[in-house]
Amino acid sequence: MLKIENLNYKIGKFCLADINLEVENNRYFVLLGPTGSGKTTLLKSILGLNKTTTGKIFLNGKELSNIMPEERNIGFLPQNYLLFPNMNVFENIAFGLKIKKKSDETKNEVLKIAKLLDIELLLEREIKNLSGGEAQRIALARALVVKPKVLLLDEPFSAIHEGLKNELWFELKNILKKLGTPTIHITHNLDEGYAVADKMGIIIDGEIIQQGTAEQIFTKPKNETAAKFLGLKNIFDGKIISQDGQNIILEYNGMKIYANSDIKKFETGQNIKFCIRPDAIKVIKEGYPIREELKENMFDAEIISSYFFSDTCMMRLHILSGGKKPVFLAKFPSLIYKRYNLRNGLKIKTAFWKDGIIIFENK
Amino acid sequence: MKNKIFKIFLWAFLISLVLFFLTLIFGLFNQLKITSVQKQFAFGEIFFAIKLTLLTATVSSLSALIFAVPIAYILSRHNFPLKNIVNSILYLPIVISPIALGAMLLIFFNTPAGKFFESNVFRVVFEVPAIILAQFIVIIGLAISLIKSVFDYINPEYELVARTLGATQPQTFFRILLPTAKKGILSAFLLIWARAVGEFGAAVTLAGATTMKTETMPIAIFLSFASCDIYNAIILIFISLFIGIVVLYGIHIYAENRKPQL
Repeated sequence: MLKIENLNYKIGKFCLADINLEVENNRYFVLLGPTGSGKTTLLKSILGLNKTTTGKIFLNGKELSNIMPEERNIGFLPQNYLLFPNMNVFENIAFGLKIKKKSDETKNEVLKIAKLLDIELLLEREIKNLSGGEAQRIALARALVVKPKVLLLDEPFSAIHEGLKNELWFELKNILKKLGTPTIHITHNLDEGYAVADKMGIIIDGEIIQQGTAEQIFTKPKNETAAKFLGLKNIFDGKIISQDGQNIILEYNGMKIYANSDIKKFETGQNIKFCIRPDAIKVIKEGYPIREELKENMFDAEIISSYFFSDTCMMRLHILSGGKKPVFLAKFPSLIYKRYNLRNGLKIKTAFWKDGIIIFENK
Repeated sequence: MKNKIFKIFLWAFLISLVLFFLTLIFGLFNQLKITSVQKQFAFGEIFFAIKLTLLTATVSSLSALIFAVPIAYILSRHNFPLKNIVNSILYLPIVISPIALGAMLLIFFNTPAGKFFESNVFRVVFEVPAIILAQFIVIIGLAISLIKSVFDYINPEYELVARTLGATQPQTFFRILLPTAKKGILSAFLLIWARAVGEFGAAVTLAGATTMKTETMPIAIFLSFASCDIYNAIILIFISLFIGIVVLYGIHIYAENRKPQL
């Protein structure tokens, strides 16, 4: 188990601030964060390549602060795999074993890991003749063959072709689960993180702002910063009108909006920030029955503009209720646009799912 | 049309300079024809100069390499206080004239420390070691600069990855960095060796110009000209040109075959 307690590290103007993290054995932890948020810096601190200012790192109960990187036994898969250019595939994988002078076992161990990762046929190849996917597996084999106590993956899919990524996410996780190696995987790719994480954290500006399961984080980001990073739109300032066991009623721009009640208690009149997930905004087709849970949050709207992606459509809507005609962003499957005969300038009825309304802890 | 004129412009520069160098070489051939009737080829002296030049250049270049590799490694991979000042001192030989460097060495050997060295270790001034020392001082800045560029070109993250696999810093240096930099270091060696072969100013100041003693090829050319022996001077210039062209051509072929770093 890897445990980080109150870790701080400063380099120039950037700092990792009070990092606390725990990855249990056989668990797959994903650390999500935008570019420059300190993900790689944190990994390098765990590896012992950055001298941290304060804080402690424990690996299976052993404190690592005074242990050199080469003695920590932490596996590392760097972003661009960084296979040693002066060695072929076999020599790359065998490097760690040869350093540890396990020459008798070297060949067997390399063959064993090569079989597990299905790269037996690549062992004699030169590094320059490998595809991105092959290089990734070899770098993974090189890291795993020395049996690390924990594995750190730095954006492991950044050099993989887009179309191949999805399958490889699960394949990589399955291999690591089979080996039982606790893993920290850092990425800025939300889908990648969501797909593989047992547990997840969000790091922004050197600070881990939220940890939990992927579902907890994606459905209930802790604050506006987390929500924005997760790509959520429609973030507004509102005011609490009331809260009971079932609903929180809030007011925004003269509109009364119903959200599901929360464990957290809000005071009447309290200023809050809230977000309506774009995929929680529904188009109500006239003449069709309306679900009970949508009825409370129904508003008239006008389509301002529409953008199409491969399978979804984003629409900017003017909500016609209230004073300022606020603009909301709604996300639909593309087929809804055609089926409902939607077009710019059309006046429609929309409703918000209560589940998709998130009230943040911060103001 | 503008693209074409631009290309012609570029080629004009290249062709005119190559033609200028070729004209210089043909001028040598022409002069050789005129003087060959009157002069005899001084075999012994020229052979001595070639032998001494190749020997001293090889020893000084290898010594420079031994110093330059660790120094370039420190400069490439580490930051430390006063690094810019240290850099400026190490690269001084690149910007200071060789004669000034030779004079500095000569003055050093006239100080108590220099005199102590000469009387207790071995004689340097006006001896063969003076040539090696002069060549070493002239090429060391260039050697550090070239090898540092090679190290800078190699991603330091390779060494970090090697450390996570259990390698100590010396192991990453000898097993990852040096083998990866091998070709670049060899190219650098050939360049500094060629520069040492051509070294004159510092060598003549510290070692003097004594026939069959401290007579390297550049010194022999100087002595031949000084005694109006144009024929032998031209032969030596041709040998220098041959060595230079072979080395530079070798470096270019080598550089073209150099694998790009991952």
